[in-house]
Amino acid sequence: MWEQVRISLQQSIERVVTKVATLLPGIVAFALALIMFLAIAWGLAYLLRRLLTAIRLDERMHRGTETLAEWSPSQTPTTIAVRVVFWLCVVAGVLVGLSAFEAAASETGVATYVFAYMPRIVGAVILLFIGNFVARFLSRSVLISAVNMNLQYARLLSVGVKWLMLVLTSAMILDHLAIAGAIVDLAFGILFGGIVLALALAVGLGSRDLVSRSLERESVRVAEPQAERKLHHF
Amino acid sequence: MPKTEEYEGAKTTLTSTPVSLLVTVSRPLHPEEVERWFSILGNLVGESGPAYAAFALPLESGQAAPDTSNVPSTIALYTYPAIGNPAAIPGVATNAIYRPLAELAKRLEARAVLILTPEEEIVDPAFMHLLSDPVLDGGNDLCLPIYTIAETDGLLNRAIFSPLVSALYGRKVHFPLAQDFCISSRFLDRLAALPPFVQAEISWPSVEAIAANFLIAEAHVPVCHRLKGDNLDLASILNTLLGSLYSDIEKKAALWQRIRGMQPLRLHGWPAEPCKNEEIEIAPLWDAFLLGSRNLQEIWSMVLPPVALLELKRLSRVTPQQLHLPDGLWSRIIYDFALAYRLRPISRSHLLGALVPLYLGWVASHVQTLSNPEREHSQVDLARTFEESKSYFVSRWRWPDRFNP
Repeated sequence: MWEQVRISLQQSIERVVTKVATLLPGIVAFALALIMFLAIAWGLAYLLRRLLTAIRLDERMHRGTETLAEWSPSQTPTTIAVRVVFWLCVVAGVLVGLSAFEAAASETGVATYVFAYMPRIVGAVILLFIGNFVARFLSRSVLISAVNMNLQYARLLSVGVKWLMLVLTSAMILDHLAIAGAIVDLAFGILFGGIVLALALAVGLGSRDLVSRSLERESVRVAEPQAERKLHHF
Repeated sequence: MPKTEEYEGAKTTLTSTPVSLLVTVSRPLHPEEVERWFSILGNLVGESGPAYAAFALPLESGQAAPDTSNVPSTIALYTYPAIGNPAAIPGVATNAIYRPLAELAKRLEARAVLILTPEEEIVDPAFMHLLSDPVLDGGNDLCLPIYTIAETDGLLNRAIFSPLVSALYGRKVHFPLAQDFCISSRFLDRLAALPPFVQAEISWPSVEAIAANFLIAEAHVPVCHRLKGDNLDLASILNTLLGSLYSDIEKKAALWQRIRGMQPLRLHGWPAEPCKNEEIEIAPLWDAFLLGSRNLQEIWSMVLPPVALLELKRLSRVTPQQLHLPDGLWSRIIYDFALAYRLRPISRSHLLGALVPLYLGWVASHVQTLSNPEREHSQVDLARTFEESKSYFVSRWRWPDRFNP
């Protein structure tokens, strides 16, 4: 019996060693590819930083649109550009390394799966940028309009709109990445549905006195021209 | 090029008769306005003769020609297509009106064109002569009105347009955003030759005349000019009017940076008794300013330098009775917003929307000053203050990153 245990253990160890030996060239290829691309990334980042500093990109961008400066006020456009290029090279290195691992280790399907997933990641990043931009733009529009309409809760409205947009964007990104699809759909539906239901209950039942007083004030204000409407501007 | 069409019912014997003055309105007339204007023109022609004036009526596409059965035979009436969209603000014209008018004026050999706003309630031949005579007989290319307004009227013009244009372009213009004005044929040709991409923009004939070195005059008109902003959102008004002025300032930067001083224009007529001030409540205006001060600090900080923000913060702590927005601060605020309009740290519509609480704060301060007999406040002082602050604006314009007090 102990002989059989010894033989089984020996065979298992042999299989593991064989597997490692089979995978080792792939792992080495992956590591080599990654190191090579890290070196390329470092070199490109250095050159790009020199170039962007020479053309004074940061100064020029400060005169441009607010999106970049607002989104990342603590980092200069040069830093952001350099880091994007660096990490793109690293990601490329990872992908090339995966292909090399697949070829060397005869493990099929890994690189194909990763490459097939890349467009989703790119789409998700684009959605993130657009969603963030739209959220900030809308929140600022709501803030300014609400202030000009003399609404005391202007900031609350603005923050609410911004976070609603960000939650919507997050749900869209998760859906696009096919991460926990059903759970995200359900959570999003419950969240938005809950908000709408809460508002409906507040208006219909819980805050009807407050709302009716508020509506009364608004209707009286509408009947009298607002202070600035009485002014003769030109 | 837009084709000028002659109204089919016009008297053919008058089509080729030259006239001295072509009278038109800045937008198509509503049916209920037509008869009043025919009556006014009838009086003008009755006093000065049929060779003096003709009437050009803009018609929108598809609009039916007006009923002229009551039009006196002495009136020469023409129509032309109303090109482009009206400015959507009462009494304000766009550059699109000049091309068809130039064609018509050339055909009629008119020496001057008088453009009037249909919103003006008091228009009579005397009013028309006050504006047209300085052009027809005085040798000027542009005659602008000086309305007899109360100190609580024309607030946008008082706060921003007049002092800003006067300071930047070196001429003391009382009403640069002309709603009733008279232009010579040669100035009309210049305005008609403006590029197509500016046709839909608000017309600032005073600025164009200064830029082209044409002769400008102003005439006192005894009209209690009062165009109400009913159903008009103040943010939209600022966005349209001030936005167009800021845009024009950006285009003409090379011009106004060279100009020094402020010269008065030729004046015609005599100033009449100003209209009575209206009662305006300060509290809602000041509340609007305070609300803006609490909520828009982040946006204002992208536009205004720290010194201005500090002063505004100090102002937000005073009582309405102590309220006074210094002219120097106000002029620098307007200049800072002009610079921000050019640099675009935020979108332009947001930028001008954020100016609304500041403008209402100025109005509150202005009304408070009027009610205080000890303080003297005049538009001339404000224009002078803008002129004194011009060097600040020029520095910030040229070196926006380096010069930031």
